[in-house]
Amino acid sequence: MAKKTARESILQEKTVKTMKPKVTMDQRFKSLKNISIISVVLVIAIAIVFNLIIDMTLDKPLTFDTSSVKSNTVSSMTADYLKTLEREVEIIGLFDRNDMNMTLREYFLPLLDDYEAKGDGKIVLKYIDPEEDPFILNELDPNNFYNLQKYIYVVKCGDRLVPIDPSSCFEYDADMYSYYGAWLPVTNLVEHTFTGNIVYVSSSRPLNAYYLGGHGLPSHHNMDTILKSMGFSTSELTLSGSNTSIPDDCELLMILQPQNDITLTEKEQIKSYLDNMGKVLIVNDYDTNKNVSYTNLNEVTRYMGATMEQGLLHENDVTYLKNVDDPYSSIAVTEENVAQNAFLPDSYVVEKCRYIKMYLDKSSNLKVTNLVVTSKTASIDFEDSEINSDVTAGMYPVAMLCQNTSLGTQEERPSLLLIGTKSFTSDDYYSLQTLDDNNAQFIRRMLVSICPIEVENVIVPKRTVPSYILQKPLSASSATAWATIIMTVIPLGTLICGIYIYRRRRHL
Amino acid sequence: MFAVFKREFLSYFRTPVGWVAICLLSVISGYYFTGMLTSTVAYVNINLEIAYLRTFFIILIPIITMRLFAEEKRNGTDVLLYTMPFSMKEAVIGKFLAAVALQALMLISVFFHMIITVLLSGFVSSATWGAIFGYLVLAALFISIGMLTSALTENQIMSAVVCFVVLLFLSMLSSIASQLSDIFKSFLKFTHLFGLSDSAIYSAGEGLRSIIVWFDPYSKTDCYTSGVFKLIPLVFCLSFTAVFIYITYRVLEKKRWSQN
Amino acid sequence: MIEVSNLVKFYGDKRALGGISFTVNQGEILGFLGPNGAGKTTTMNIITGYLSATSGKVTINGYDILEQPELAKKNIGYLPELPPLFLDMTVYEYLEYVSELKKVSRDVRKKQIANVMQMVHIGNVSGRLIHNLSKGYRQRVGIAQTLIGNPEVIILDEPTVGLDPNQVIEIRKLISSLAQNHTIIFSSHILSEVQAICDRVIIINNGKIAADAPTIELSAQMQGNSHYLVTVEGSFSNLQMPLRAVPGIKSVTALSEKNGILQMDVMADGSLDVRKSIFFTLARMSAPILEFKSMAPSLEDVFADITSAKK
Repeated sequence: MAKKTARESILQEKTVKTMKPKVTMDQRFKSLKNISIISVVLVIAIAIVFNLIIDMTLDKPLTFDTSSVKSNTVSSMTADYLKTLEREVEIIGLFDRNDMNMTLREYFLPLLDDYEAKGDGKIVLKYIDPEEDPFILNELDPNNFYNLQKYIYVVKCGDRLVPIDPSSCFEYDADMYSYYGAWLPVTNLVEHTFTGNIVYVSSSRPLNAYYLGGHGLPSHHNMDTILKSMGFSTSELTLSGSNTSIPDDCELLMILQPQNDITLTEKEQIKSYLDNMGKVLIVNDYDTNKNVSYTNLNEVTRYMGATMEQGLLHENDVTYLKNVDDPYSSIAVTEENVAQNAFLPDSYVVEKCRYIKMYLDKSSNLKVTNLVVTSKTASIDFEDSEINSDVTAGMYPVAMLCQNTSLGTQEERPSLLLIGTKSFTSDDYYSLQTLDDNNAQFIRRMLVSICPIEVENVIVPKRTVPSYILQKPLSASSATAWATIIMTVIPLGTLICGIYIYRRRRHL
Repeated sequence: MFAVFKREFLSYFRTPVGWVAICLLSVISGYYFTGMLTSTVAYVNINLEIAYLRTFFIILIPIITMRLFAEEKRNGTDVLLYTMPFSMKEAVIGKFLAAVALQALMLISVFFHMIITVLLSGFVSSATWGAIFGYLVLAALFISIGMLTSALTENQIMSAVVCFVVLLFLSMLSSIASQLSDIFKSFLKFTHLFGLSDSAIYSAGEGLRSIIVWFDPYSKTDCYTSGVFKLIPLVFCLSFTAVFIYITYRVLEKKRWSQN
Repeated sequence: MIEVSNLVKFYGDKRALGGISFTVNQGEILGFLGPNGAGKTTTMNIITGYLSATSGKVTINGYDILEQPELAKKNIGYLPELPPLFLDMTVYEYLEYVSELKKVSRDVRKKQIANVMQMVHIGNVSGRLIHNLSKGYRQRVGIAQTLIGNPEVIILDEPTVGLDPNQVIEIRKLISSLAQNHTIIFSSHILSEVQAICDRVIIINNGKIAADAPTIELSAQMQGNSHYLVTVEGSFSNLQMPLRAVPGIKSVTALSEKNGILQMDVMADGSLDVRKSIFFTLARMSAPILEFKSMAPSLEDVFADITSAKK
């Protein structure tokens, strides 16, 4: 039997050989294949859907702060505040979220995520790298007021915007800096800074700035732009009527290039406004007003410790001159002591500056600071040389800040910013310059510092930064010893172990 | 499963692979640690060290996963796995666990560093444990990818190279995402397709970017290093680890029905 | 015990198996005979579940290898042509691993490994690295591996290939001794080896079963003709006729004739021993025999015989 079948099969084989083989897969293998492919696709789909569902539902409730000082969670004060937030606030990090070059990122990313989580949709957190999207800077700050750069955060609400430099969100160890030149953060002000600025930008209380009218107010379009960019709304105020007065909501009163002296009532009103934590900006224009003697206005400035004289600054140092032939058009600089403590530009363009100077009583509570000054060899040109002949060559102020230290708090005091030239504010000047030049920067910085934004009732605690510094610093020799142990003993130990076992086994 | 795990894990130490991997990681981590220890300000933060170590995944993971299946196929020992009375699932899981265990063991030098830090009056924060956790979760995901590449080929070097390329791609995912979204944006802009406005184009590009970045395992697990525990990265890594393990199983199982 | 029905396997468009069916009964030793590339290994791989078939069915002890792979595989021990050995393990570690894979319970594991090692005589190398073992020992370790878990069927793919003659004899002995307790399928391309060990032979050629018969039956069939290679001093023209005259000799063909040295192939009826007659005939013709060799029938001869017998 077997013989027969074998022979038959050989015959069959011969016929099969000539046929083109037709590949038909058994149904069982086919179904296994289908099961296999379908299940893989299904598993991938399920994983993605499952992740998305978890992402949407459990992400926020199942986020826990495991840091030792809870620096990744906003405090209850911020959380409560965020609940009352009415407007949408954007927090924009000007870098890629995954950019490891961002220093101290571990203090920002998770905390700001928590802001977004607790903000209930009112806080919108974005990370946009200006190198990826070059339009973002221009979009946020069309006039380049803020000099936005990579690795800066921006807090924005409506038109109001505050840049936050991450490095300014910490207090640093002074000893560490002086001994080693290392910036070691000791206090974490991240939440403090961000909450404060969110309060500021979202504040519905308008910051009102008034131009004093009735004295030949010049056109002030550029100054308006600067103020608006800072969140101020501006309007003209005339105090000539009997029952007009400076409104309570006046955050800043500006007297720009007055063509004539102010009235007695105005003088009294401004003085009492100053007593009530008022902030006043006075800008002179000697060129057009050299013959006006500001008796009443000078009484106001003297009340704050300064006076305006009828003289014109004459720059004698050629290196300070814009144009060698014109001693009245010069470059002024930030006063040395001020420059060390404030983030102000180095130098400014000044044209025709009126002679202004300190005017202080002996027992005065007034603090007067020269902010911008001439070179050390400037002099004064007087129309009438008899008025003050004891003026000699020296350094003269272009802009001064006068504050009454007996009133108010360190953050907020009656302040007068007195500027001898129109170069910082006038449309004449800005029609030739851009709104991000040094003069504009100066105005913005000074207005920010004298008109502090109240961080209403939200006082966020400062946090200590856990120090990863060794408590007992290592001596150089013991550090080297440890380094040697770590770099040699552990790697060599494993290697020797490996070689030993390998060699031993190899000869088994 | 335990049999495969045991053999695979011990085989790392029977051959030089395991020792070399541990040695390599201890040199890399030691270099970083001593750098911190001997800096003028002895700023010793183990979190940073672990975050630094994560960048070496693209080299270390292929080394420890390339042999898992490729070697067996080349030596013909995979016959054992196919003809023994047990499921291929067990083999896959056993091998996966062995590689994860090796990866965990490789962190031994970091534990030494933590002990040294404490001995030298330094600070080991809770976030350090989070960082280690995130490291291992990420390692598990990458190992499952490496195992899959190993199951797909007979050649170990080929497997390592493919795994390396995949991990490199993953580590660059966020920058690739922004490149792609830029290309997408300019494509929309120049073709005037759909006639979208600039802002719509921008948000379309950003949408594409965020979809791709959603798959970035590095940024997903980043939060553990900063001391935040989140469920999502854990779920993400583990579920995709499971997916890759399952695909590996199916790839090997293919032999049972494949026609080639 | 094993039922194989209508196995077909295609590699792409190339047919490796074209419908193979057979059954193996308990306690049988089945030899798989066929030239290289005939489909022996493919068949074995499909039976053991290492490879899929394009169609067809394999059941082992009633379990389908595709549908109940784990139960089916429990009954098989398989040694492929390339033994699945981990060179970085010692023999004992390796056998321990295999017994873990086969889920041999922990309490009998040690004893079973010891038994198996004794059975295949590798007890003396149990602590050595497989890497350092000779080919014969490696083959034995491979066989030991199949015995772990005590499966009823043992499948060996070309177990003697590449071994030196002494090792071949030892392995053959080993297989014969295993036959007492196991059903064995083993493949070979050497006819004599199969004849020596097996109860039954299946000859596979070109993916088809060419013959399936008990060894005795097949041997008889193949003994139809016997060939002798004879080298003598002399010329073919002189010697051809006297040799043809010897009863039983069917044909004489010259293979080469050079410098008076003649090499020829003598075909004779297998039932008669013509060797003496050839010697005397050549002696008579004063043609000294330089070489006289009885040629074992080659596989090709067997196929030729089977086909010609059909005619």
